[in-house]
Amino acid sequence: MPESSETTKASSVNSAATAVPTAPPLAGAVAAGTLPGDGGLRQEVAALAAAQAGLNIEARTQFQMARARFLHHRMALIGLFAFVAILLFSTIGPLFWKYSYAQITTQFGTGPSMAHPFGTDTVGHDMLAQVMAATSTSIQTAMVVAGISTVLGTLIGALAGYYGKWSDAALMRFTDLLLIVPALVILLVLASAVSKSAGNWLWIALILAGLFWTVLARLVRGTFLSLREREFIEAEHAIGASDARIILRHMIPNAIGSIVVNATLTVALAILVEAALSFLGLGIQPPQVSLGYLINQAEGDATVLPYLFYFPAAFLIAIILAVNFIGDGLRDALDPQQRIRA
Amino acid sequence: MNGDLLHATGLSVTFSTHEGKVQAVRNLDFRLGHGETLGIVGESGSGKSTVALAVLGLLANNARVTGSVKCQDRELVGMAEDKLAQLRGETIAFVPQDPLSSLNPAFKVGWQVSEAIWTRGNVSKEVADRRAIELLDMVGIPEPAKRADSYPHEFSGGMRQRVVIAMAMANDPKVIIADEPTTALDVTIQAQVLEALKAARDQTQASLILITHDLGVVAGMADRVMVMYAGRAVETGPADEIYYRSRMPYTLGLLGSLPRLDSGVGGRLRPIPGSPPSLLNLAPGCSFAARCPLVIERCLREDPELLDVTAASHRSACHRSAELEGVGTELFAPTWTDMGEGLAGELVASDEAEVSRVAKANGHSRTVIEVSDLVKHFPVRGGILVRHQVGQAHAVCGVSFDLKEGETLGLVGESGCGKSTTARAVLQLIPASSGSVRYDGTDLTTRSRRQLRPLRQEIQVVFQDPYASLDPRMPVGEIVAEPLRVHGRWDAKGGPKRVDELFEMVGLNPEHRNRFPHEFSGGQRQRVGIARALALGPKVIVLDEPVSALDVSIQAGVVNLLEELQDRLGLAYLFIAHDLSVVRHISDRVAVMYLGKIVEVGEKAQVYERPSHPYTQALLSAVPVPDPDVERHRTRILLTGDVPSALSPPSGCRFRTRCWKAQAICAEQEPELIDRGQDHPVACHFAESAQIVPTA
Repeated sequence: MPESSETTKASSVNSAATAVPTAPPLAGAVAAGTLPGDGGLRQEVAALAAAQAGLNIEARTQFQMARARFLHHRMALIGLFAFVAILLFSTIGPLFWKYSYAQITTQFGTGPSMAHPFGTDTVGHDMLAQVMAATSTSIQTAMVVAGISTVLGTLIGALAGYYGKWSDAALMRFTDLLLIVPALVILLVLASAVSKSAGNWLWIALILAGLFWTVLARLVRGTFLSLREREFIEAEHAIGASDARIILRHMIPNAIGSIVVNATLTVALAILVEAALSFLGLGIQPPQVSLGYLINQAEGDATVLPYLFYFPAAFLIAIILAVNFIGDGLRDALDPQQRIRA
Repeated sequence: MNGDLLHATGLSVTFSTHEGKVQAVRNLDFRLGHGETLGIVGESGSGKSTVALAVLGLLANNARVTGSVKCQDRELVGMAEDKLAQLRGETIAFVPQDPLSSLNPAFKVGWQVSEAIWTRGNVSKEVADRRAIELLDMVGIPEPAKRADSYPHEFSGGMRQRVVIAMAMANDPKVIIADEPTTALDVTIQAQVLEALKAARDQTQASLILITHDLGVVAGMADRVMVMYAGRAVETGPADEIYYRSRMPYTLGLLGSLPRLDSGVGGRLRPIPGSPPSLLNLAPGCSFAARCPLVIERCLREDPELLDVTAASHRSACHRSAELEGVGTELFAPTWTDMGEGLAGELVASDEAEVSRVAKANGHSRTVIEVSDLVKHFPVRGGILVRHQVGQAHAVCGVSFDLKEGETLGLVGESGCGKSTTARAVLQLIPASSGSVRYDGTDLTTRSRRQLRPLRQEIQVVFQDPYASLDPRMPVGEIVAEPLRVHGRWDAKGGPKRVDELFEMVGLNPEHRNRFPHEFSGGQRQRVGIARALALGPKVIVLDEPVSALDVSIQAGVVNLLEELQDRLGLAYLFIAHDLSVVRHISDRVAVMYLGKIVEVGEKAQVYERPSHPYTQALLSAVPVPDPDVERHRTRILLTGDVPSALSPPSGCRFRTRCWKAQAICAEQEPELIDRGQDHPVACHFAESAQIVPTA
């Protein structure tokens, strides 16, 4: 049914002066619905249309796109490489090295040499073995801290952000309580109480986790508060999905970006805090070693035997920097601002 | 050449992004004469805004501009920044799209307008201040002397845009470039702003370049039109030539895909299949070839040049433009499937559908949704130490309507009228403050969330924003399957089959079920949303502005799809929109809302042909029609003032503050929505039907 008000056919103004060769008008064919088509052309046009529609040959998941973006970030790759190298160094290394960290050798107070690449301390421990063990302990403490605090923080933040109102108020006041009290004071008190018992790195890790989750809870709460208003969540309500389904299947996957980034940065912070504790003598106790402990021990002889200080410090800085770069790369990779195709 | 104010030749703009080079504007030629209004029309991605910014030298650093733009023999491309700065505002003025961000929130409005004047250096501040007040008066700001002391946040969107127009005309420019000046505004406000723009043009005798996607707005304002597609000008010429005798398939497609306010006749719209190409790696040949029903071999190899087609300086870029003489918009078929991957398909809606719709209209008997006295207030909290409730936003105040089986009820109104809130209250996504919503007799407002769950299979929803309404982390197949899983209707065999069936029902290719939302276009995503809504076989679908966020040529396909589905499945639609043309096309009955109340309701023909409430009349007179002749002969009813705040609505009739018929009784007594001698209920003491919509 014709909709437009067509004027009568224009006089043949077009035939004379234009550069386009005249051709029989299509008006009749269009009105009759019999447009001349070209079968062989269809495929080429279809391919062109598909290409222009931008639909990829294979689907790329968000994960694949994020991975591609991460691999573009040079510093993150360097950090990843360095971290993996340090990890291998500290876990696999002791299997290949002749000295163990608690072993006392005949050399003491010697500088770096072929026999002892990192030197020995005043008692006779081989520093390479000690640094390997210390790095391993520090990293495993930090991983446990990050793991537990992430799970706990996500859970509490999710509940506070999703339900809002009273749950939010109650949970956040509790969080604020923990944030207000100076963490270091709590740490010192608790740490001195437990540091004498066996397996104490786990205790330290648990205490730190118990304090670090608050940061993530705030973050996740904020993310959930904004996600909650998004239309696709409203659509889930309209379908009748349960709260658990919405939180677990829809909101957490969409918040995973900031969660992962924060978890990574928690690793770095945990290493630092643990080192600080050990430096103050309240963290890991001998014969266990950690990087902070080693630095503490090196403090007294720093001017005479500087290598006792430099090697553990270098590793500490390297780990923290590497983890921070990885965190940066992850943040860029998981950026929620997808390029939107109009 | 001598009479031209602006003359562009070979203008090209390329953006370097880390994905490659984006050719936003390619080889553009255009001319602007003295006192002429040029309308630049195109959809999103056509490059029209980029042209404006290129002329003014306001593009970002990663843009490379080549070619030439001469303003009275002065070359603008490559001009030094200080000379350009002098040119802007004085010779070429700019009215940008978003008035919220173009006014400085820290300074008073009057100060900002007068600043535009005294920074030129040749007038004193006092003279500039006085002139500023004059200008504010010229653009229609009421009480200009007093309002010059207000800050931008105290103004509404329409008034801010008029302030920006006042700033643009402050120095009597020769050219005013308006980039989508009314896109974000309601239709009655749009009418006011366009009037202000006309006043600016007439007062300063300037030439105007109006950039927009709205063919109706251009029809009313432009002398000449330039249609842009994928960065190129594909057709230029006088407005009449473009609208009535177009020779370019894209323009014909655009015109055919628009639902028109003045055509009450049924039949399907004619969408342009596919979507605009990405500007990153443009294929050789005509950029419209993939969507064109007239494509030939030559179109794929050779990009057509913009050549004359008639003597009236009408030029078109199509190899077959000569054959298009006398061809109208039937060039495109009235399809409803998404043809992203091929030429026109076989699935064309026939006129039989029209017959079945009429038959259904006669047979609408059963009421599926009954809303009675629905009220929703939102508490407004304030206070310094203790936050308590200081007021209420009266979003919906006593709305009642019925929805019958298989029919479409259109709920129209401008922003802030409460239609979206009504939709959400009907769906029980927000709890109503009072009133009832009955589905098939069951009162939904008294049911708990668990009791409502099974009823959710009967009433579903399609949201406005195709980007935000789909979970970006789920493949679309999973998104469509989600309702089935939630209600335990998913099994390993039947589930995937049902998903495929749903994909085909909405015109998408089932093979794409593992792709993610971000890989689809806006129209395709909206189809996914519709498929999700259909998954459970509902009887009622509430559609909250389902096509507002889509490009014009894509809208038509989705509207056709919705109509097809209604015919096939017997669905009832509650269709919420602000676009009156679309509502006229798809609805059976229409209700008009203003500030939380329904002011008029009736059959489509009754409300559109014999509107009786002053607000409806003003609304209809403000809607632009894409037809220059009609637009020239229309008289517009211009409403004064702005919509009152929902926090303190006016006493009595809420529309009285803007109504030209208002009398004392209007402030004392609220008019009820009853039959007042018109053939449908109207809420006005002085209801009188008038013919506003021009007959086709």
